Formats: sequence, C-alpha cells, structure tokens
Amino acid sequence: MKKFNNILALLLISLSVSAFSLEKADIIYTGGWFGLPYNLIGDLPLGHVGIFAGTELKDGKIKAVIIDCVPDYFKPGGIRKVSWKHFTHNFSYPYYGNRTTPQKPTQAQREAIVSMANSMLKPKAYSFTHESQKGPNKFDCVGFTEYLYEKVGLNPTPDDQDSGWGWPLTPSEQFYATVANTSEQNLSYINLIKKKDLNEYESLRNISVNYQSDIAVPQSWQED
Amino acid sequence: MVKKTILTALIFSMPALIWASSDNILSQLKSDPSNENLISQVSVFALEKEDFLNKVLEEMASPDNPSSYRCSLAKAVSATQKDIAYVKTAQLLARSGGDLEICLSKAVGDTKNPYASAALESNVEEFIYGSDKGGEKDIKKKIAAINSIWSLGEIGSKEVMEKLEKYYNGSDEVLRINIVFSMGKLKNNKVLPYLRKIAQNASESMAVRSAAYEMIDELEGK
Repeated sequence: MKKFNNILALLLISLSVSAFSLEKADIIYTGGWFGLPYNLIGDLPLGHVGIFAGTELKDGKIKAVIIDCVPDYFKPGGIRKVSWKHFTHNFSYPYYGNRTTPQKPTQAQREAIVSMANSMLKPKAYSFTHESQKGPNKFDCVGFTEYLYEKVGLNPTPDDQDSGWGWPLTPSEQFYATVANTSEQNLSYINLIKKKDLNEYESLRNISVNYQSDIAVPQSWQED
Repeated sequence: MVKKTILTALIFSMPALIWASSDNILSQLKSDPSNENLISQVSVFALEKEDFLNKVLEEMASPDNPSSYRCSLAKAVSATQKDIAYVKTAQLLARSGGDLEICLSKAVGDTKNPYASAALESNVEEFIYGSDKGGEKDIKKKIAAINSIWSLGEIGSKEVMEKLEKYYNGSDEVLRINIVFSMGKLKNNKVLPYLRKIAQNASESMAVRSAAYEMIDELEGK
C-alpha cells in the first residue's frame, strides 16, 4: 500500500510539472470595483487587465513581472512594471486568471509582446476618457493588452467590439473572447503531498464521481 | 413667532421627510446600484430606523429584484454591522447563484461578515469537487469560488487556514494564487511556515511561488 501511494505521489507530481501554467505574455485579470457586474463594464465584475511578463530572481526570491497601464495618479502610474501587490491594488482584488487568444501565440510572439511592453514603460500614458484605448500614445488597461497582441498579428477581441474610440471594449468582453491558458488536468496539482493528503484526494475523487451521477443539483447552483 | 411656527412645522414634518427620502433612495439605488453614495445613505437610514432596515432586508431577499441592486442592499445593511443584517446576507449567499453569488461572495468579505464562512466554503467545495471538477464549464462558478477564497482571507476565522490548506491541494493555479494571497492575510502562526514551503517547492509553478514569496515579504514587513 505504501509503495502504491509513493507511485501515485510521483505520478501526480509529474502531472503537475507537465500541466500548463501562467506563461509569458498571457493576459491576466483581477476583480473590479465593488465586485458588481455593471452593465457599463460588462457581464463579469472584472476590474483590471495586464500582461504577465514572466518571473525574475531578486535577492534569491522569485518575483512575478507584470506590465500594465493604470491612471497616472497611481504610484507607480502609467505603463509600469510591477508584481502581484500592485497589480491587485494591494491585494484588494482577487486574481481572476490568465488567458490568451484562441489561436495561441507562438513562443516568438510571446517574446515579442513582452519585449514591446518593456520598451513602452512611461509614467503618463493613461487615457482617462478611454478615447484612445488602444494607443498609440495613450491607453487604458484593456486597450494596452489588446494593442500589444494586435502588434504581433493576434486579435484578442473581435474588432466589432473594440471600436478604437473607447468603450465598449471592456475587460469582460476581452475575457470572454479569449481562452484560459490552463490545462483541464490542473486538478492534479498536489504539491505538498503527504499520505494523509493522498487518502483525502482519493475520497475527494469519489465525491466528484458521485456528483456526476444522479445527485440533485444543490440549490445554490441554480440561477438566482 | 413666525420663526417658532416654521420650526415647529419642520420638527413635526421631519419623520415624513425622512420616510420620503428613505423611500426615494431605494428607487434611486435600484436604477444606479453601483453608486457608493447611495449605498452609504441606505446604510445610514437602516442604522437609524428598524422599519427601514426590515424593508431593505425584504427587498434584498426578493428574487424579483435585479442581482446588482440586491447585492448593493446587502452591502448597505452589512455596513450597519447589525447581526440580523449579517445573518440574512449570509443566508442569501447560501441560496444564491449566478451574478448574485459572484457579487455577494465578494461583498461578505468586504464587510467581514462573521456568519458567511460556511456559505463561502460551500462555494469553493462545490466548485473544486463538484461536476465541474475545478474546470471552466461555467466561468461564473469559478469567479464565485475565487471571490469566496478572497473573502475567507478577509474574514479570517480561526479554522480558515486548515480549509485553505485543503483547497490548495485540490486547486488549479489560479485558485492556488488566490489561496496564497488569502493565507497572507491571516493572523495565524501556521501561515509563514506554510508559505515558505510553497515558495521553496520546486514542483510548484513559478507564478504561485512568486505569489508566496511576495506574501512572505508582506508578512515580514519588507
């Protein structure tokens, strides 16, 4: 039994290593103001969008590198290079995930997006009126990511949704037009594995299987 | 004498004026549910007048009202910090779905609702272990689960660290990053050793490890 658990542990760890995860040039999202799904900003309560530019080693620690565009009065403001803390506005909004175009960018396109984003860093670059959402000089957060992708020949949001003069290109529309860059197998991430966890994992798998059979859908799943 | 009469008239008409404006404020909020000023005003009225609080709770519970309006009412009454408001909001979260569930699962964290933990845990567990198995067949369920993890961190009940550890082991990368952020908000002596373990785990993705390193820095005041 112990041998079986060890084999299962190794299998799960190898699956976790091979599973997709956040990649350079993925478009990343946070929740938004008040968490409300406004008509104005679209169906989902998305607030902010940026480009994941990879990670770097600093003082022996792994640091996320995120390039985004925010109002000039932010510190830092404009097109800036930050990590999780600033991207989530001091951890005040949840992280909603990483997405990319349905036609996934090649490695060369990913490198080009990040390199271009790095070359555009400047403190005053935000379009408060959203009239020049996609640049070339002033942007908003979603327009900035759209601009970078379009420059390498990819189009995250269909053109009939981004008029170029401002709304209605919303983070929510871009979120729906793109696809999650994750693997369906991600559930197999069991990284701090212990025997106890393995047993728990097996019992959780059983719960999953049971849910697929004839158990009534919980009331809280129904549309309110 | 004239002054006295006007003053007396004003004093006697005040309750009517308050009612009129408190009534009016609900219809204003219904048409502009994201207006923070209106939410604050509803909260003040609810704090001052029990009748008004009950009316708001009724409006909040009514499925005939739009989700965004109901969620704004939940935020307004929760800001009164009255037990009845917290309990009713937590009960509504437990039976809600779709947009209302997304919104309430964040609102109870914003207002640190002490009765919401069970409903939040249920959201996360239904998402991770339910028929979606943590996938994105219904993105709204995933967003509600993410908001729930965020709120569990904000509320920070005693048992939450244990729950977050359990969720970490069954979640995808997006949820794990949020779990790390929530752990970093807890006042629990298990947090730092656990985050260090994640940060140093070579099998973990670089994105999650970077989140763990950043939360460790936050906790250590760097």
